Amino acid sequence: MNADLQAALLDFIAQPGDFGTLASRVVRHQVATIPAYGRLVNARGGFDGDWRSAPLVPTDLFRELDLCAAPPGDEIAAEFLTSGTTTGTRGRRRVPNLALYHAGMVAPFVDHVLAGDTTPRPWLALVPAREDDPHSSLSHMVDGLAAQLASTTTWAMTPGGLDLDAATAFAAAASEPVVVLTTAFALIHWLDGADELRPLPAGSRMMLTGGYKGRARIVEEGELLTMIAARLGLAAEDVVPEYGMTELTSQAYGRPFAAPPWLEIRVVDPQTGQDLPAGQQGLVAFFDLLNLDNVSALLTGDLGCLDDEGRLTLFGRAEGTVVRGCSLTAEELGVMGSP
Amino acid sequence: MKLLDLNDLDAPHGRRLLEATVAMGFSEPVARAGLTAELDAWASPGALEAVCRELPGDLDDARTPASVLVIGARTLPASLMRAVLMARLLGARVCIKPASGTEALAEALAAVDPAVSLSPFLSDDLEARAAAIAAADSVVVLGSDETVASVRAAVPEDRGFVGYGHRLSVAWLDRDDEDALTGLAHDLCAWDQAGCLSPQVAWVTGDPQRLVRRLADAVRAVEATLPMTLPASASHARTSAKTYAEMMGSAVQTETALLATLPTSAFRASPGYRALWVLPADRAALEAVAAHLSTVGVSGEAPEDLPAGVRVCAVGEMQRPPLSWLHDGRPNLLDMLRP
Repeated sequence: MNADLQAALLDFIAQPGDFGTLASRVVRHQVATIPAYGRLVNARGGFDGDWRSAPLVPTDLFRELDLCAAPPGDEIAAEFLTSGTTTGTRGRRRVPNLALYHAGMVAPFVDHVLAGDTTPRPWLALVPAREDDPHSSLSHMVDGLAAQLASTTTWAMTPGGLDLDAATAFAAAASEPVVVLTTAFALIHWLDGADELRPLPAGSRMMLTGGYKGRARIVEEGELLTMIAARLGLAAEDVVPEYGMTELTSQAYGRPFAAPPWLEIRVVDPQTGQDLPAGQQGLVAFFDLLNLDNVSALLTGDLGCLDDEGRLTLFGRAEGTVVRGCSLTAEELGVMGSP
Repeated sequence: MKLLDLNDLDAPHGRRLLEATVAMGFSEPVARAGLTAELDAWASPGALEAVCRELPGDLDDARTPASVLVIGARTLPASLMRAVLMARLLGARVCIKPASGTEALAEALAAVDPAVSLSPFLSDDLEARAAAIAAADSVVVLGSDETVASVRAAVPEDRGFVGYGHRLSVAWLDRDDEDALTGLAHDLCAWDQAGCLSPQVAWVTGDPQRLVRRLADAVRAVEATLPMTLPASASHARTSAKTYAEMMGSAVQTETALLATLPTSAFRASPGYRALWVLPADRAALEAVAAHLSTVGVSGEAPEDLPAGVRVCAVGEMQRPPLSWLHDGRPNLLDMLRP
């Protein structure tokens, strides 16, 4: 960890300034400390100082590469693993220091999910508690936020699955505005499984995250919002989508997704890697300043487009390669083949 | 035999076959080259007779199928054509169940030979599949191992059955002269590397990085006459493979191909569309994928003790198997006979 750079980033979170200059320093740090990224940058002719030219790393490479500034074996603060639902192989991100993670997660959550109201409320978390899933970045985030912002937290996603009774009892007992933090599939499980649900008190809010990879039941967002309104009494504006991923430190929120000042959302042409203008659909990419000891310039497999204010609308996963022939594919071979 | 009338790809029947192949996403030169290679195998002097010599002289007519169902779940045109040809050599009527989107290919075959027809049921329509199987004396399946097993389970014991699952092929370059590199370039570009006879990995005894630079020149010469457009759906996988190579080895990109080296020998699946891993030769790495092997294209000394049924040929010939080739080590006609 570069202490000066971390201090500069913490200052940036508190008082955003010149993104480009700081991003350039971050890239240089990563080139110097993450061997695989250094080799990539060198292979592309070196870093010219413009953060937008920093090579994008496909997030699926976290499945097999250790993209961390801390040498293997060094003590780290956390190791986050992806769900592995796309390929069966879990991506892995070692995080040497969580100071930036913790510093960057509160303000965007408060702004978007809590609409600026930091009054401690009862929270219902339909995600595993951190002790139940220590490698989940989502659990870590919710745990950290709850510790700072909730009056009480009911963890209804147990190692044995969703505790329907606990979640339903939480709703029944709510007498003041509450906050629900959930993945889409857990929420649907709850709404499908609970016979009777009492609408949540007015002023309640929900953070909704995650897709349906590997899940049997898929519900379009419009239908889901209708279900939420009917069963829990929350209007669409009370339900705030969150976009985060294991490979990122920062999160985007809203409909469309808005990024905090330290996270730049990009949409790039899948074939050229060049940035696309607002309104054009392409692959979603990020430059996350807070990914200091991993890689900041990341390319996802999600499709999206930006609006004129740089906010992101998602269109789901990019379709996979259309296979035409009889050659055995990486997927058929399993772990031997990735990526 | 009527099917042999396809040999002129500029005559009406041949043209239809060519257009159906182009409609699968191949450039016309690639489609033409691939079809021509297959049709040349059919027309090779004595080839048909050589295949028919598989049959015992005292073959009981009752065992000869009058009708064969060919299920082309996911395969190249050449493989489907060969399966149909083999059934016709037995004198059987052939009903083709083409993969979705390749109906025109089956129609082109049916147009030239009245004994060939289509059975375009949906893959998940098990009732229609059962009816098609019931109407056939023998069933041939070309597809994934899963598809082959599923169909096998549905075919009664008193019917003939041939299943060709997906396989992979590799090159082994003990000698890397210009002829070998030109041959490997042709093998890579043929059918855009979509076939189970296409090399996914080239193990080389020389220096992989130096070889790749020379191979790139050979590929550039070949791709000038065999163009390919990388579809958008394949871009992300190509980007991941290229980035991984730049991080862990090296990558050279030509107009259409990605030639990537790694310092390690372990087999790595190609994302297809002319992406070749060039790795240090290691017999143990080859043995690790022996169970999946279809063909090993060789230059120089061939690796010893390959499993029975693995085809060994010179590089440049990988996509040109002779008609008498024992597909996956199995006889072409005997398995189609009724038990």
